[in-house]
Amino acid sequence: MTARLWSIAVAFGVSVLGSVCFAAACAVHAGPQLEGLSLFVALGALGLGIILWARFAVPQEQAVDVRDDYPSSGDDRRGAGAALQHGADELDRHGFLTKFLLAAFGTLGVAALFPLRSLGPRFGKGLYHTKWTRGARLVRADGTPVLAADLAVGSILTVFPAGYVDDASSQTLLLRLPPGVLHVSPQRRSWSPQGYVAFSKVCTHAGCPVGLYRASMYQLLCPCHQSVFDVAHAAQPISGPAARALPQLPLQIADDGHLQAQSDYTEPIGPGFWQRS
Amino acid sequence: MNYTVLLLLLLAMALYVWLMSRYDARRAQRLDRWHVAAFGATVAVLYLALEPPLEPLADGSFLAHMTQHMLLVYVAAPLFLLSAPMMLLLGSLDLTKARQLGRFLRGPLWRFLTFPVFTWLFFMAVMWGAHFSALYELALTHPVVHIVEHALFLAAAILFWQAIIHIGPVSWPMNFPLRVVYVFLATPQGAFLGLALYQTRKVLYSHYVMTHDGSAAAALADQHAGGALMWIGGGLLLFVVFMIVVAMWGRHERRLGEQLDARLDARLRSGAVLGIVFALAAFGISTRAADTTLGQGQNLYQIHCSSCHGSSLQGSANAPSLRNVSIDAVQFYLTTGRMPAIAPSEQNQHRTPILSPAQIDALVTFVMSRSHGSTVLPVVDNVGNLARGRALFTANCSACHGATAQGGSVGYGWIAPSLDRATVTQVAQAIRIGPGVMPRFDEHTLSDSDVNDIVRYVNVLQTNVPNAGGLPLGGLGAVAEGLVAWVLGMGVLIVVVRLIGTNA
Amino acid sequence: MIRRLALALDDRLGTAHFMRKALRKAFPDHWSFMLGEIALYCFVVLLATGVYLGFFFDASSQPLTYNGSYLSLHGIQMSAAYASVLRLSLDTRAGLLLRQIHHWAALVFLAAITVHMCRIFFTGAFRRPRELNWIIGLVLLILALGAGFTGYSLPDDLLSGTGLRIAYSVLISVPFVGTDLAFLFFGGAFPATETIGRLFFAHVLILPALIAAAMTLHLGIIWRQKHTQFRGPGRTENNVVGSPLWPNYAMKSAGLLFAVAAIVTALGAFFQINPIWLYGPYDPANVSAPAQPDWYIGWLEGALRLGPSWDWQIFNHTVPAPFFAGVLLPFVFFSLLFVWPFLERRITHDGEPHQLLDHPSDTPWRTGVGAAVLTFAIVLTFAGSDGVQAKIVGISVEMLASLYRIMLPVLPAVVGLLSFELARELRARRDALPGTDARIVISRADSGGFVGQPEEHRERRP
Repeated sequence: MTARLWSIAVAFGVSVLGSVCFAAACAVHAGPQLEGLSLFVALGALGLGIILWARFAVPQEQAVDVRDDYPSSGDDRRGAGAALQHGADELDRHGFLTKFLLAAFGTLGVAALFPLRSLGPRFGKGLYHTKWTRGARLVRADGTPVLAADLAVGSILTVFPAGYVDDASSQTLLLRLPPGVLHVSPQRRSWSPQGYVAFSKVCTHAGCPVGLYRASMYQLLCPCHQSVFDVAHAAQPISGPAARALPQLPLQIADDGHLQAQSDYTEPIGPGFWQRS
Repeated sequence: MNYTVLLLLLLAMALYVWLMSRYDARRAQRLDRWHVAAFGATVAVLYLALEPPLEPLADGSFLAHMTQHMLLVYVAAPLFLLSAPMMLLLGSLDLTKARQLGRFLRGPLWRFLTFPVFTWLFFMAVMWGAHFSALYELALTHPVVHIVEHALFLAAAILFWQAIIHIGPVSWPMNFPLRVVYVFLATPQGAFLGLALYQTRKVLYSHYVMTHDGSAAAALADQHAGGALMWIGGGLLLFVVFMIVVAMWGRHERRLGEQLDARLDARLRSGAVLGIVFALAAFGISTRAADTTLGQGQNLYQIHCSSCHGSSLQGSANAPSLRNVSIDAVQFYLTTGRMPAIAPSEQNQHRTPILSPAQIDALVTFVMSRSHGSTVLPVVDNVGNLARGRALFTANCSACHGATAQGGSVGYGWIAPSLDRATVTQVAQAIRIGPGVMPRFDEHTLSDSDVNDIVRYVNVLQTNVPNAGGLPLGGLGAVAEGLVAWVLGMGVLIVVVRLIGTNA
Repeated sequence: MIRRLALALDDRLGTAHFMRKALRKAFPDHWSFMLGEIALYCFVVLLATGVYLGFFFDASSQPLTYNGSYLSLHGIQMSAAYASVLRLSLDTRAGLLLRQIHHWAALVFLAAITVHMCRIFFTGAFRRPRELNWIIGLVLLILALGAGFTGYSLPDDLLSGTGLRIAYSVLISVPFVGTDLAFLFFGGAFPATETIGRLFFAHVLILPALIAAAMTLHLGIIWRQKHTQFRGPGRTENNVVGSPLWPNYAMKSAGLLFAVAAIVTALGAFFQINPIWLYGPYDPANVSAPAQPDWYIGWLEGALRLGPSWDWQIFNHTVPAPFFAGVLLPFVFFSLLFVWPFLERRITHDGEPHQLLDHPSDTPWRTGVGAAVLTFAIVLTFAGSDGVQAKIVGISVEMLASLYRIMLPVLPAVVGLLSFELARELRARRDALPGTDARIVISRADSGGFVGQPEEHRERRP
């Protein structure tokens, strides 16, 4: 046998070895690297052997076909047309029946879509409210409430309403700013006691949690599409594709020092949608 | 004698003095005599450019006019920027106006105006536009247009230079390679402009024919001289700037290299020191041999720190005051090698410290003896709850530092660093102090046991990260995976089909 | 023995008549014709590994407390789906290997489709009579994108869950019907418990069935119409020159199947992909960096990042920013692709069937347009990973995004023009030289004897 044929045989032999090793590796739970290496050898050597065979051990023939399959001959076309027409003529004799047939098909098609309605609930008021209510206490992700003395200036905490920890739409960022930095509009003067300010964590662009905080610049950055929100100015977007500020949660401090919400957010949180005015 | 210009210069100086008198170094940063000197030099150059003997000559001679322009654009503008005018304004205006100014500087208009691509293009556009259009002639015949033209030159030049002179608030900080490219690209096009003026056979500005007593040849020679000045003079000036930027870059890199050498030498000394041992040792040393350590610390402080932090820890233009710094912060910055800083830049990176641990202890002792900040060190052991640590890490840290603490970009050129080199104590300290733009988490936000859990998880990520699937590709996720799929997957397969198929 | 089998089949089905010609069918074997096969064989690998994975995956959002072998997640609440993938990856023999092979094969599948599509476009293989196959191919691309997206969202980990959230937000941005559609598909407000089950169903039944059907149609049409071929000696509009199906082409193709399987196996063995245990289970209040989708969704991610911050208010209703980048842009993009054969026919006034392929330099204008559109998609894809680039290079990500915004209109125009000029130059050079294309036409002279003349200049399109 020539060297070429030997190399093909060797390739197949290596593939056999690889397969055996793969079986063994799986049996002893050897891990993806060893399992994968043996499988790679098995498949690769097999493929190499076949390709070598195709290139070097089989006569390189050439085939030539003629393209005469299409379009069909004139006779065929006419014959097909005649056959089609024959049936159509027969049906057309009672032409009004076709209209009834179409009506039946059409209505069935539309009616068949109706069960799809069960796939999900109606939109309704789903996106307008969160679980925040008047007097709802701010709690951490582990359920412990947040006291007014808790957060240092320059710090950040993710909070939820008590009893609704991990509720996706209620996730809120609690920040504390030094005095004089926070700019408050007249309507929101009572919303941020003692430098505390709370914003919805759901980005108003595409809904990712706005997790990055550049503390010394008082800016929140959303990692998904890099929208930047200016915390000192009611979380207005200053860069990136977000167009609306993060909704602000009105805060108050209860007599016992717990931080509470005055009410739910005053606008729908998160990304915009058609019905949002 | 142009009295208008003289009056304006005097007014500018008066304004400067007034602003300097109101300057509040606590609000912004220190302005020292070099800044004042730069301003003085600016005024001097402006006077030179716009007053006799150059001014009357410039009316008749293109060469003199060109000299005026060069002085404005290549000398006065950078000098003005070196006097830190924005810092002066921010520090001396009353609070409301200063905040308005700050807001404007963060606003879209200023960011657009200072965007390096825009400033570069704008500068070139002004240069070329002014010389190769009817504007030039118009400026020669209408004084108002001339003043507007000079103002435009100055404005374009100031915007151009501020992209690479990083003093005061910088909208688009560029690293050294970018600055080099920026200047490098500016050099040839300025040369081309000058060359175009030098080589043309046409007299471009008929005004100068008149001022040369009707001799077109003399006007042409004048024009050629001006062009040559712009070509060679401008090229030389930009080349000097280029060399300065390269030298600054080189110094930066050299210092990095020294750190690397120190690290290679210190490899024997360094190791995974458990936080509590280090903490106790530091505390022990600082209480035991207080006097000699204090003296040594003071020495070290004078050598390495006082140039930026001030000899009495009061801070300066480049560094904050240390009078209320906590021991966490001092230890963190020193043990991660971020301080002593190589150059006053905003972001310092984790390096092998050039000070030995003993020196660091001495320095810490000294600084804490003068500081009113907290002297409580974090108690960190390495037996926190792993699962809890992972959950806390994911909730508080991974958004910036990445799921495997590989680091990430947080915008405006800031990087949340990879945590691969940080010890458990350093991680705990960073959490407590919030270095750079990182927020700080105090005991009420993350308790000591929370911090312990987090550092346990970070330690696992550093030492035993479960990369069961193979090469982790830098922890860069889908981006690296896509690159590998295209290069190693599709690339290899294309090679395979090229071998299988024909090429006819 | 094969003979006996063949005889048995022919007795019952009369297959010999078909096999007689089929086994000798000519397949042109230029290497670039095999790119589609790479995609096909990636799909085969995906099916094989996918069947295995399907046995282990639990498509349920039911929360449970994890107590498996991965200590960092002990005691943590997670969905059953995530826990099942954890178990498969860390505790099952060959589980992680096959899961990684599956994911790498998906990435290479879409890369192969893209390269194959470019080959079809730049050689003009979509022209009559192959417009239908072009459309089916685009449908395959869209189905493959859907299969990939649903696939990597199945494990319900932090990274893919973030991507699902974005998809949900893009869907609710559609005017009029967006919110209802989103509630219908996802099963309620995000995150809904039905979502994982539905993604599973789509990913393992609906999409593979549609892809298999479309592929069968795609290949069947190629079989019927016969493959195109490049110009060359002995090749005309009326014939096909190539290797016979049996044994030559079948063997090469089988070899390619194993080569593709081997490459993606090697990737799955040595390169970690989607390590979900490091990302953690999906928690809507958490996010990790870097936040990127798989590469083939990167162009949509880039569009969303570069998109302008428009929230249009129209009469008490909102059309938010994700609509323009996430719905309108892909719609326009794919519409352009779908109508391209007909558009080109309009422009060139060439409705003739073509069986011979163009060299990209034969139609410079098409090459230029294609290069521009491709550059546009590539710039968007790169823009999708600007955060990672900003971290590596050290530039501010805001500046990088602005640079990409500038590049987005500029670079395609520049590349398109350059490609156009380059193609024209190449064509001019080819025309100037005699080359193998020039042929001598021999005709009988009136005076007797034969006369040879160079073939007349073929008509060139601009």
